[in-house]
Amino acid sequence: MAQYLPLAALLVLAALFAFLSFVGSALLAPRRSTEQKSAPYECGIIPGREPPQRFPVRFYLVAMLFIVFDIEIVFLYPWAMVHGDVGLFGLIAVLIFSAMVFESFVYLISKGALDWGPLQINQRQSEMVDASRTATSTIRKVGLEGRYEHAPAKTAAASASDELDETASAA
Amino acid sequence: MSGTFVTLVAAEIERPSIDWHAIAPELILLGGGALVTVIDLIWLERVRKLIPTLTSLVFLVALIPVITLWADGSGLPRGLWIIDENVPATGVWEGAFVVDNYSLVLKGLFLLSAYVIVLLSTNYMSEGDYYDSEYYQLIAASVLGMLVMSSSRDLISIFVALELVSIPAYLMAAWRKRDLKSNEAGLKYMLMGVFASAILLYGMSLLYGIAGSTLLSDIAAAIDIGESRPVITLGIVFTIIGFGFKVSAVPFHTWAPDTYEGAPTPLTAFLAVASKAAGFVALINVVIVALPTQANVVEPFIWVLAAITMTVGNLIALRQTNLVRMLAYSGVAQAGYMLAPLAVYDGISDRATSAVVTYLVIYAAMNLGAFAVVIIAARKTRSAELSSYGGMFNYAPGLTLAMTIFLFSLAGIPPVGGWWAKFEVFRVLTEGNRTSGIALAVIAAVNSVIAAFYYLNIAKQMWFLPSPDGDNSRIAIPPALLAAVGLTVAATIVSGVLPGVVSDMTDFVNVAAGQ
Amino acid sequence: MFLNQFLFLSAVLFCIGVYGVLTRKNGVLVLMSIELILNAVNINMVAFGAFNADLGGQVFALFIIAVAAAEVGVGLAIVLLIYRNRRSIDITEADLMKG
Repeated sequence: MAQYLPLAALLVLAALFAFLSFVGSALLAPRRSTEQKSAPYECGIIPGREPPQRFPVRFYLVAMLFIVFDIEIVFLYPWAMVHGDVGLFGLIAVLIFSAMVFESFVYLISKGALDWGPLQINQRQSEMVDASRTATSTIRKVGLEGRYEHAPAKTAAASASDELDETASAA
Repeated sequence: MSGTFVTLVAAEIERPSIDWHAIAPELILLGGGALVTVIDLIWLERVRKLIPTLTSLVFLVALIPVITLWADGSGLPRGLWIIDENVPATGVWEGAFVVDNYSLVLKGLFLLSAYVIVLLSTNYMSEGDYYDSEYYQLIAASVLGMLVMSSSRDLISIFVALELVSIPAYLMAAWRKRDLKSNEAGLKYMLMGVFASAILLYGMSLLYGIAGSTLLSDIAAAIDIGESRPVITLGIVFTIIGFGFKVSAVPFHTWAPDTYEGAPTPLTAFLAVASKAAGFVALINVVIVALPTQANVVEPFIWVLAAITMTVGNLIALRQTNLVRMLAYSGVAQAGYMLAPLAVYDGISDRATSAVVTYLVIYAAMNLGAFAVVIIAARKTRSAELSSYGGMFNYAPGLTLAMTIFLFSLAGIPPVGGWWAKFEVFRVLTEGNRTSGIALAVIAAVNSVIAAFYYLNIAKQMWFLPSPDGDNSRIAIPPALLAAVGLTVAATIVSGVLPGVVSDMTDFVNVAAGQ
Repeated sequence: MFLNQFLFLSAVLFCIGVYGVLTRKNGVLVLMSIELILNAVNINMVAFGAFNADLGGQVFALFIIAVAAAEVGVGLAIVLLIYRNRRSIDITEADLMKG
């Protein structure tokens, strides 16, 4: 087992370091905490989870698409450096590569991924449509248990409409 | 720095002659996948019903060059470039892509599994008003990654192929985008998968640093120094941990059950069979080609992984009440059996490889079949709970018989397929009378008994217990699903009754390294 | 050639990244931590490539950059999906399935 000795030594060191840090801070740190001090600064009801942050959805989408295309171009630089040496063979290879990237670009446009403005695609037709509604969950035999097992998902549908409001206000 | 760069790239680049026949399966799949995308873009809703058929046709057409390459076995192994004595070697990608018997068997396996999975997905994926054409394009992309993987003998191509397999799979796991469970399945799979790739890459970077080359055979030559060095051990351990995530080996399996349960069931079959097989192929390529001289590092690590994977997988599977989750944990346990031959590969790497590939082939048949039955049964019962399978013999005797065959095979009971897969593993483990091998064989044997208990429990449910709601109306089975069950039943029975058929294919000499 | 300094920097980045992945609850921050690990790998690759006078390391780094962009693109899409349905990107809240 000699080949694993350095790894074992490293593991022991890491564990020791974590242990010592905890013990050290527990021994040395001053404790003058009160209940008021550790409470989150928020009025009204006591929050159950982290407060939701502003999350600009549309911008993330476009930035994401941009990054993917931006990075694909990285493969053109090496070719540009040596295009004289690789000649026609290299040119054809790069053209095939570009065609593949271009196809996905056409795909994006045709799916409306670059359409700005108010959301049109993601809008649900009606609030009656449950967020997790599928044929499997909708068609069920009468008299079976678990009729309401999808009930919690309703909150998701409700919150989706909130999101539209927020996007509108962000714009 | 820049001086080195210029001298390296300024070497003469001759136009190499490409061996088109050798890369035909990949090219057909790439062209076919792109074509399906374009067809979908142009005609949209009008061709939507045709897209599954078109995709499965692409898989079958890609199978043709695999078969012709196999029949024309004399020229194997072949590379990406035709080696010509008159043309000076280019040094680019040489030996990174190798077509040999081993990779051809795996390409056949991947294409056929993908075909069965498209059969399972037809009609299923569009349920709930989802536009399903994109799903088939993603499957084609993922299978392309698998084909490249089976021929990869280079760290770069292994990494790119692994990502090409995984990235479409993350998207497909989150396919039902309005269903919270499916979202969660995608999130867990994506986070764990990306993290695993990062760990794997760090290990690969260390191996590359020692060898100064990304080619697996060069790495093998560079680390054959007869002593152990910490940096080599670290690189190997990180690399194996990365693959451990992909094949869902304990303790890196935590994503598997949740992802399997939350994802659409045809995709679960895809992840459990094809994607896992791709992970194993990558592991075999690296371990057998690059690390033959580092058995003293690789073997103990894989031994521990295999032992805890099969034990933990089986113990948790015992107390599952959802059949899909149970199959997920059983898949984790089966991954343990598949890892086992690699724990004793020193000196018998060809036998160990052939045992793993045999297991992969038979496992694909029986597991795809089991998932096909789950999908069919869910059309009536709308549930994957174990209790909902009660009384199935009364209203679907044929389906019950098929499921029993798959369960017997998974449990390793002769004469159906699974016993031969397990037998091969045990034969490799006991070869050479090494203590570690025999100890692992004992652990595997105990585990087979535990596994038989829960597999047979499902069979008992189907044959002897009454149906929970007394509804004994028949199930209407669409032809695509019927074909999938027929194909997998035939493959499972043939591989068990005539094991020679499988072993003739998997009995190749070794994984060929690049020239 | 100062190989050790590069390796040390990369090891530190790697550890910070792994720490971030294991402790962060925010899905986007987990993805950023993974980017740290991948950049640690890139530093390793380029440093080793220069040390060994081999082009493979730089080529590998290019591939890692491109694939990492695709991974993060898909990752952000899935995190966005979770956000749309749950109004939260806290990954510890994704616990519908257990056992």
